[in-house]
Amino acid sequence: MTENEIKAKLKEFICSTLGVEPDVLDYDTELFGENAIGLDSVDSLEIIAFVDGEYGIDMTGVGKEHFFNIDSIAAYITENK
Amino acid sequence: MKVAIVTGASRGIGRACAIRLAEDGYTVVINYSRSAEEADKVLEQIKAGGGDGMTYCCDVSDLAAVKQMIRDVDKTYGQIDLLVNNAGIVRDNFLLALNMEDLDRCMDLNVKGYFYCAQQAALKMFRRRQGVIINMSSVSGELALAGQSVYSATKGAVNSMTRVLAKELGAKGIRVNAVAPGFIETEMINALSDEKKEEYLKTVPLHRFGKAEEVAAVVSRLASDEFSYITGQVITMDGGISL
Repeated sequence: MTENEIKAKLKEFICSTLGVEPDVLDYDTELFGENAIGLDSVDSLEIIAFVDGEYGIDMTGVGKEHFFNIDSIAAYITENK
Repeated sequence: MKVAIVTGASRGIGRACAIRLAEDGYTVVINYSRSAEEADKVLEQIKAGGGDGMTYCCDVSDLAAVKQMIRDVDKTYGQIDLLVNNAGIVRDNFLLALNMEDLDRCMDLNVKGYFYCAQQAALKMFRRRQGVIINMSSVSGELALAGQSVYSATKGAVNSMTRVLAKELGAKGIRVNAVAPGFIETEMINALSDEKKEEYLKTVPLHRFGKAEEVAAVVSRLASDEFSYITGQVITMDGGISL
């Protein structure tokens, strides 16, 4: 699976499970924080569980910079595959 | 079939929990750190009773080892329904005689180990939106017993983490509770002199020590769907010591 395919899958998950509208979510959109699209810490757990289940990559305890946007999550998955 | 992991299950309360949960129909992972032979005996007993499970050697104070254990269990059985965080140690001493290595070991096993296992098990439970975590606490988490400052502190931490994790994980269908036993007939109590035992018994209104099977019964009920509206609670079962 290419990094772009991972990004597409992450976007699909975030939209379908976390209720984010697809048109406000680009791969470089900030996910968490004041200027972000409003995801919270529980949503980050959802993403961690999704990445674990889908790719077998453990993101527990990983620095929050890796959760900045879809690009950074996909990069982490690719680097740790 | 539901799958339960019981840490520190080769002896005492953990052993009783593993056997009881197998009787309840769980496939049981008997975690142990050093007592392979005793863990094998627990598995043999479970199998003799028609149950199923496996033994798994893992020091729960080692995060990498815990991650591997949870991954392996999930891979083998496809799910984790129940975690009983039980592995722990007691190193009693008065403050001025406190050995810092003992302090570190108690914190590593009794607190960090619980966090490691809860985090990794919850990660798998998240996926299915269901699961139960039961933390073995102690009446010492609330009572001030001289010489037990370290053990009490670790169990106080377990009680607090139980409440907070229940809040964090509740919306995901995961319940978190703790059981706080008093004096239970385990190797530790059995090793005491008759005089010491009598001294302890005087503090117990029921005037007897509890049995590991009685603790296991509470764990069994807390894990069951019948108790599905209970979360974030510390269930004290101490024969009345704390009254």
